[in-house]
Amino acid sequence: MNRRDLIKQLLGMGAAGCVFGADPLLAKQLAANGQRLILLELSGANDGLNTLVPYRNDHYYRLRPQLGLPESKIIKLDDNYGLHKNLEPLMQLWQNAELAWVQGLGYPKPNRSHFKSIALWETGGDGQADGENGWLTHDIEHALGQQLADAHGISLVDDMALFSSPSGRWLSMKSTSQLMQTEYTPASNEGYSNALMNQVAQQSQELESMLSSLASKLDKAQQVTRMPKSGLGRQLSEVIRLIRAGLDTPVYRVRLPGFDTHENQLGRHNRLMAELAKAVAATRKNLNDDGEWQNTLIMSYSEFGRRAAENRSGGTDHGAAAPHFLTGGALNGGLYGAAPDLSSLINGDPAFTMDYRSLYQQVLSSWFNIGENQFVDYSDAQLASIIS
Amino acid sequence: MSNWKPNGLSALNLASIHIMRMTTMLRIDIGKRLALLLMLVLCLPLSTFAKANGTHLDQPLSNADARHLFSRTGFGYSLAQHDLVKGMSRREAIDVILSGFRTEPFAPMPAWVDGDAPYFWSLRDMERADRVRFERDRDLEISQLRQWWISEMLQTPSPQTERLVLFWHDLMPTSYHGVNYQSVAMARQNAMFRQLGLGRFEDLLKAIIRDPAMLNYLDNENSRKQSPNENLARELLERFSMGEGNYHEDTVKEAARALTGYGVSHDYNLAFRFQTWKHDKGEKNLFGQTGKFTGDDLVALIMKQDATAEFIAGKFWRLLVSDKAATTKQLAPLTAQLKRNDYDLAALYQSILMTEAFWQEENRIARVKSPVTLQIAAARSLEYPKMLWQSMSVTSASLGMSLFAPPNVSGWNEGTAFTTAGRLKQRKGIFDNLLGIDSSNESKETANVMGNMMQPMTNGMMSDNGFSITMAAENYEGPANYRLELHADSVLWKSDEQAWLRGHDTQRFGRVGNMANMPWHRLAVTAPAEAIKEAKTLRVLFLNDNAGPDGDRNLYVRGLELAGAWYPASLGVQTSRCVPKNPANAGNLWCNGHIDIPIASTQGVDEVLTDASYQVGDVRVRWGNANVAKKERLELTLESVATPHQRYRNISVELRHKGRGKIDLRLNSYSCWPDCFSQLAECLWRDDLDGTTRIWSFALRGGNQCHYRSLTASEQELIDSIWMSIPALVSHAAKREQGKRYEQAINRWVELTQDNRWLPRSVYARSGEEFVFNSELLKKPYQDTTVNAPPILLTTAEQLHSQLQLRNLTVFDLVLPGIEVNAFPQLSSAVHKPIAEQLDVYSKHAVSQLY
Repeated sequence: MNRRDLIKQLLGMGAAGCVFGADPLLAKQLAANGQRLILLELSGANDGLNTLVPYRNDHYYRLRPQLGLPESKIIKLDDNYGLHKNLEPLMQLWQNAELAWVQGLGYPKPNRSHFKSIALWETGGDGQADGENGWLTHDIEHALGQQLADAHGISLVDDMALFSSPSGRWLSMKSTSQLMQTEYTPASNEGYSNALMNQVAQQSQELESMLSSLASKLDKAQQVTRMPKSGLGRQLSEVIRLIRAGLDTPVYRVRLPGFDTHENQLGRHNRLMAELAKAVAATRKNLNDDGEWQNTLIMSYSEFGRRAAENRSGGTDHGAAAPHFLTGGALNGGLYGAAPDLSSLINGDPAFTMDYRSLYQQVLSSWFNIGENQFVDYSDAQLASIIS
Repeated sequence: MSNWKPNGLSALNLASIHIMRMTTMLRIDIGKRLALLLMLVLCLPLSTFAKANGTHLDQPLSNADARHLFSRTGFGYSLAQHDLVKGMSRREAIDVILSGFRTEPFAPMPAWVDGDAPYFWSLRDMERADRVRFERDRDLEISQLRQWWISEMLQTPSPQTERLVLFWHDLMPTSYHGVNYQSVAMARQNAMFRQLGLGRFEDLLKAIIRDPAMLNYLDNENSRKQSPNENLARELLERFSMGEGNYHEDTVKEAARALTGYGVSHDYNLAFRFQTWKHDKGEKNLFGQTGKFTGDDLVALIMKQDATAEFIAGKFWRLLVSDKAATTKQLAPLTAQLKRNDYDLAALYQSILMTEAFWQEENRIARVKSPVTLQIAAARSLEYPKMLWQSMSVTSASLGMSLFAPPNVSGWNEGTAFTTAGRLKQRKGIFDNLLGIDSSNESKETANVMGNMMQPMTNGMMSDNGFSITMAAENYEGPANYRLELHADSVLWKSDEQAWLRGHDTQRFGRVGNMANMPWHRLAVTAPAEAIKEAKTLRVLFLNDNAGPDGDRNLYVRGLELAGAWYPASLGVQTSRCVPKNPANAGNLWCNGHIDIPIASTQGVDEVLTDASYQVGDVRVRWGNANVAKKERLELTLESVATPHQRYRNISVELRHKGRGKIDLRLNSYSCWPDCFSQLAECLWRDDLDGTTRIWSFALRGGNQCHYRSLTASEQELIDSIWMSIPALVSHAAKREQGKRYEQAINRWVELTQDNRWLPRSVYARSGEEFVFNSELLKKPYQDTTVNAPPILLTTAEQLHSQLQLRNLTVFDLVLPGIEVNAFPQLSSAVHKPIAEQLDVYSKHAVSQLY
């Protein structure tokens, strides 16, 4: 059975049927554990080579005479790899084994367009076949059902591609206060009626009940302090506030933009690394104090990595494979996967060593206990123990 | 190529198909073709349609019938449509729909669409500031195109055409965000759907595999025989013609091979080009047949598959009848008809409208309004919401449907995906705002202002005491305040402080995000003629910046039009606490401050030509290699060329070095825009596979002079001048290329061409006049051809109310789907209440979201 057939079979249960007919056992488990995933988009394509640095690799310094980070500008993780020095706030997480890096993530036939490639990462596609809905929307809806969650996912970013789904409660908001600003009266369905009218009326009822549940929970939640005032810091404060409010929502999504570093990369990338690390470390501190860190998993993603060789404007161009990090209280920290071989580049790019969907499969199966997910074919033993 | 088999066809259908084909050949527009076809159908009652359908078509068209027919085929139901079909039968009304299709837009597309495509190749080596300015201009074009389409949908007498174009845009989606800023390709695709959307399906598929926007979007431009890209092949089979599961996975691979080489010529005004050197000329196995298939062969084979007729009939069914999929039984007569009549889409469309199913009650509330339909239908039915037309593309985007930017290759998730809990709240807010029943003060104020500035504006109508300014704003806790000033050495004139009331409310709807989605509005401004005459700059001041965690207040200035000339803000100088990093983004006022836009008149291009007769604006390296024995090649593009005989947007030439001073200068049929050569001599190399490409080769030493001799005198002069200028052109191009990709290649070519003993002795030296560089030729300032407002006949709900009373109608007779108001007690008990209350009840009812 190929992947498409499998997806078809999974989807074959019928778009509506599978959503309402959630597996009750699974749903209970999910809801009881309260596992949540915070997806962090490094928008613009993060330079993986200067994030997780192969500081023993001569090829790295040969490809990057200007941009290559010397040993003095990194924090060593082991004998071969080190983190960008501005990721220092994450070192406590590393020492607690709460931080994992998965190297060489990518997909076949890489696309170098920001728009197209991020769409692939968000829908689980590759250079040969696009995905359609958000990569986890179907599986989450199926596992959780429509009735059990306050919202299946909340995006603190406008764009909803990651959460695109023909069903489910996938919300985007700038802030909690924006969402709660005006009241909502559910639509009337009185008089002549048919199945479609009933469905729309039901969606409307659902929205109303979701909003009132959010409102009553948020009323009790305290404001979040001790978070950096950066853009990412603000988005993560909103997430923490929603978690504190006791929201039953398995997926959150935040974004740190600005990674398209074609020119004068060093300074910009330094600032971005600092903003990233400070916001993530502060989130960890807050959620740990709340006793929520064990239930939280943060995972980064980005459209692609950057070209191995620096360009002549002190920057790097669009590339392919890159490492990404996961962090959370229930993680087995460490380095996973294999770094791409810098001595044999493909069109100037590091070749991917692991399909990014292997990571998706691991998160769905180990974190959300959804073993039968749409990425089962991508299962990779190297990741088997990443989530304890 | 055609497999048209007339077995089993009645004489009538034979005749009508014949007429369709004849008229196609004669290029009679589709409306006329349909009229001819219809005449035939109507004159001979024994047509297959009439046989298949009962007498339900001869029933008089009730008001509910009319609402159903018009809102399904177009957007809502208007008073004008009501007046038009009064007293008709259903059959006659169907004729009105079918004969009303257009192949050209009613409101002309923005002027740049018909112009020459920008130099997209220059993005490779542009300086950053220039690149941002270039991209920003394209973003503005797409925002303009969105507003044009909204305006078209609102004012066209043929809403059925717009629904059909929207249907194709959704079924065969291409996003502006995935085509490298090629706004012009997006616009041309829209025009193509208009031309072919109701013709033969095969023609449309052949056009879509040649569509430059689609070829870019699905990466077919890079598909070559060594590594075919499967994207276009897969989508063509899966989403455009057959549907998943109806073909083997291997078919995708073979189809991809057939489509290799289907690409785009940037030099030839961004037109389709069959790049045969990339094409896999080998045998392919498709649907059990083997042959050296091309893309056209692939399409012809697709047309022979049973799944294709079922697929496209099912899609039209959803467009016209119901979100619920049709049954095989319902589709059977339609697919049979498609196969019989060569996939005539007009006949398919007509047959579906004639089915009993179309008119059945169970299918009258069977589709969810898309964000575009929701707004356009309300505006066409009620008229006064058209006042908000300039915001509709932005609000549509925030409801999940950004025109020219569907989220991915599957288009928009239609149906109840538009009314998920996550979207419904915003949807209600936007809908209420449109209907004028929004409770917030701000929107009431906006409606008032909009009502007052109703006078439509057309280009060039400004008198000498006025100009127009194009701006947009994001609101936060109220609108942006601004002031305008005219400056010379001193302040000549100041406006009062004013609020920009057409902003986008970021608290309720989030930030606009993308500049291409800004709700640009044009405002007429009156100022003393004397001040305007003396002014050197216009200053726009943003006075009340504000922001919070849930929104942001900003003012955006695009430029001004004065005495027929356009002065873009991107050439202005911004002074504020947060000046955009890139000077080309001047005009984005994110903080209090101002922008000064120079309005000193600039000379037109034609005036600045020097005495030299051969001039070129710039020259760029497109591709090059070096140090490959006897195979050294260089491709150069001359941008903006002027000769005593002709202006060229661009001329691309290829140089080939064969050793020892033997250099060929080559051009092909796609090298010049517009064409350089008028004669096609026999001795030219000809590409048999694409049938159109010829190559001209002009050797510096020896070689075949037949190519040169086949040119007219002025064409020979052009080649003489290019040849004589090669050393200068190469060294000019080399300067820009230092530090860039082809540095090594171009430096080698400098060596090869600087030291050339042969050129002065060549045939080209007889008359060759060297090109003079003149960068003025490149100056083509961005033209703001602001889209004209649709005519708006009624500006308040009360005015609509009196129009309704004249006809003894209520507002429900316009806005409801094809079900009578009596079926909804809440609505029918409101029929005697004020119109505002009626609309309030309506918007709270689920029926307002459906049709």
